[in-house]
Amino acid sequence: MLRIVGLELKMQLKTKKTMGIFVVGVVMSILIALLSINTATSRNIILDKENKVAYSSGKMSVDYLKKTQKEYEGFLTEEKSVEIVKRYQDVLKQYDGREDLIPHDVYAKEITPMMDILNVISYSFTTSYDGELDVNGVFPKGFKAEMAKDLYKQRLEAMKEIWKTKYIGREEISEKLENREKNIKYPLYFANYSGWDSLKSNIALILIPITILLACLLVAPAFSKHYENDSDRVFRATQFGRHTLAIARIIANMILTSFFYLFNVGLCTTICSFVFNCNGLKTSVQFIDLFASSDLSIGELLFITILGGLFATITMTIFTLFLSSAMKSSIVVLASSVFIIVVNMILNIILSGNINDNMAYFVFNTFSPYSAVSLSSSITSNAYVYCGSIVIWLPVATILFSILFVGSNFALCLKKYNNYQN
Amino acid sequence: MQVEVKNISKKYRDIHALKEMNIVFTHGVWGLLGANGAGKSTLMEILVGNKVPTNGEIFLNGKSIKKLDGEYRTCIGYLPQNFSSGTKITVTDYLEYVAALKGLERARAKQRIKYLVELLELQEYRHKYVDRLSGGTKQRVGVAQALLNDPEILVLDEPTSGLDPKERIRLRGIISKMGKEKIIILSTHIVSDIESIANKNIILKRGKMIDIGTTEMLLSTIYGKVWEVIVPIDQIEDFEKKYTVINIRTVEQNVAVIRFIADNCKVANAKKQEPKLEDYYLWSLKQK
Repeated sequence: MLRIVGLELKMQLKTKKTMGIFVVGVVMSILIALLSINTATSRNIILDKENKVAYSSGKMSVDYLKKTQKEYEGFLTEEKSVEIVKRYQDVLKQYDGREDLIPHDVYAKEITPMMDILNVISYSFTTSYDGELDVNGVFPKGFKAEMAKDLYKQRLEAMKEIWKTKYIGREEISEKLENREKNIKYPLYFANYSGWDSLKSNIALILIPITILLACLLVAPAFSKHYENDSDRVFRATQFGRHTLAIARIIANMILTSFFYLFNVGLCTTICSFVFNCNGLKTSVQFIDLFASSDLSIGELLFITILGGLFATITMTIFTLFLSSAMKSSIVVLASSVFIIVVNMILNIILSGNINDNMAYFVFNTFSPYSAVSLSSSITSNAYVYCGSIVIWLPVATILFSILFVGSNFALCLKKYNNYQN
Repeated sequence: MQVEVKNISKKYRDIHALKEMNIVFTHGVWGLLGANGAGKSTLMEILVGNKVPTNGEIFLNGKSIKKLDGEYRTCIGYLPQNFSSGTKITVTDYLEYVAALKGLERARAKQRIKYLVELLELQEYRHKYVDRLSGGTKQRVGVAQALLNDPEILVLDEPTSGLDPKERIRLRGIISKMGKEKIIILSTHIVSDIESIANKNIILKRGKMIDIGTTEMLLSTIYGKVWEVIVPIDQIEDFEKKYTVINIRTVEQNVAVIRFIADNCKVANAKKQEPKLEDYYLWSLKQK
């Protein structure tokens, strides 16, 4: 068996088509890495190497934040939160309490480095705040620095407010979320994470879909090409040309596409790691998604995004292989796989607005070979779906479905190939 | 060793590709003759297990091949019609791949590949892509892969197609030698190929077996009935109405040599000929 898997891989790797697809994958990974670096942060007011004010969202911004955010690195304790708010308010006081009057060189030096932390604090307080908001700063009117010591308590209160409106009559979901909240370790950890969140989005939205499309292109002819040119007739008449060959071909193709995917993601991530702060991967996920009921770090979330992509690559590979074992035309096989991916992408965009209470979102994000792509987003968006009295956490449903899907398609693919008669 | 085809039928929707076929294949070279669509390739595909018959079963030494499954296929060597490697692969890589599928150990595979590459004169093509080879060379690769496991049962669908006369004679020699110990079943459009190597023949017509027997046995039926005569071209049509014409060969502007079969020949100047398998085959198709 292993020998046949090896020969299948050798045969695939030696073709110009495979080489071409690998080259496209490398170019795409480099381009996405460059895109992630160039859009690493929102447009920031920073100081360049000559200490002149500059506006950047790319590498220059990342380098500046890496340098200036060092002093904020560590656990965001209650005392530290108070101190940061005080510092911010002190600067603001000097300019009539108006952020827009702060000179850009002062802003770049004092405010820009603390902005990521300030956003977390202000967001926790303003979400459930029913008083008057201050348009001149990030905090509500009358907000006192000492209040920041209740940051984590306030965050939970704000979340409860959100759950109340989102899960009307569904207290069991709020209970489940509260239980998950208990697992989060406080205080949250902060280190400069500039770029990692942008990389995560680009991997999920661009790199994974394109890699999966290329993977489908790679495996679409696996069986159908041999049906088309009748070459499978020789193989079928051999001792191991049926069951064993089909298993070996499926495994070889899954290894190939998984390697292709991991290579592309690995290349893209490695390039970015030379620019971004690797310590930033330890930052708590709440810094990019404040209301995520999850104890993950940004690095772990990035890992889950990559893992979800790997699941989706495997499920789409096996799905395409199944189609290939059932159809004679490689073009029809490829078109069917592409159709599934495109439909999923479109539905994902259309339905994601109603993430927590839409059955259609649940169905398309679970019962599709492409569903694992949104694994990380369904973890951070606290996506619970209820079906009668049963409450399901979307990531669990997605993983379970993916495993079942791979198993069933593997068996169907074997059956189709074994029973095929030209 | 014996392969028994018992009541085999194959139906594609309303078309009967094979009708109740019963044959017992024993050692020797078996020639399958028949026009396009007669069912030769279907019978071969069923014999190697690639197609499932609608009715009937095949037995190897009394055991159903359905039950023997992979074990049966270890005895098989198969060259399909229009052989293709199906992918961009060199001759050596392709043979290595098929050897692995046939369960040959690495060392044995290497040894067999070396032997067959020499036997079929493929040395200079070892590193060339199979599907880029000329028809004849590709066909020799097809024969090489069929012989990799030194099979007991060799099924060759049109093995001589695309080969030049020298290659055909060479391949005929190889097949003849192997036929002493194995069951070799081959089909071809070139009746003379079968005549020179096959000792048993099966004639198929529209999915039905219309004749079976050794070449001598079949030819004995038409012995003394094959004639040749020179006639003007304008008389050919009348001739075809009266006799079973096997061949018409124009020799001069208005004159042709007609080869025909007749029980009682009353044609002036007609000369009796030695019967050939092709004569019997064409006569048989017209008669039955």
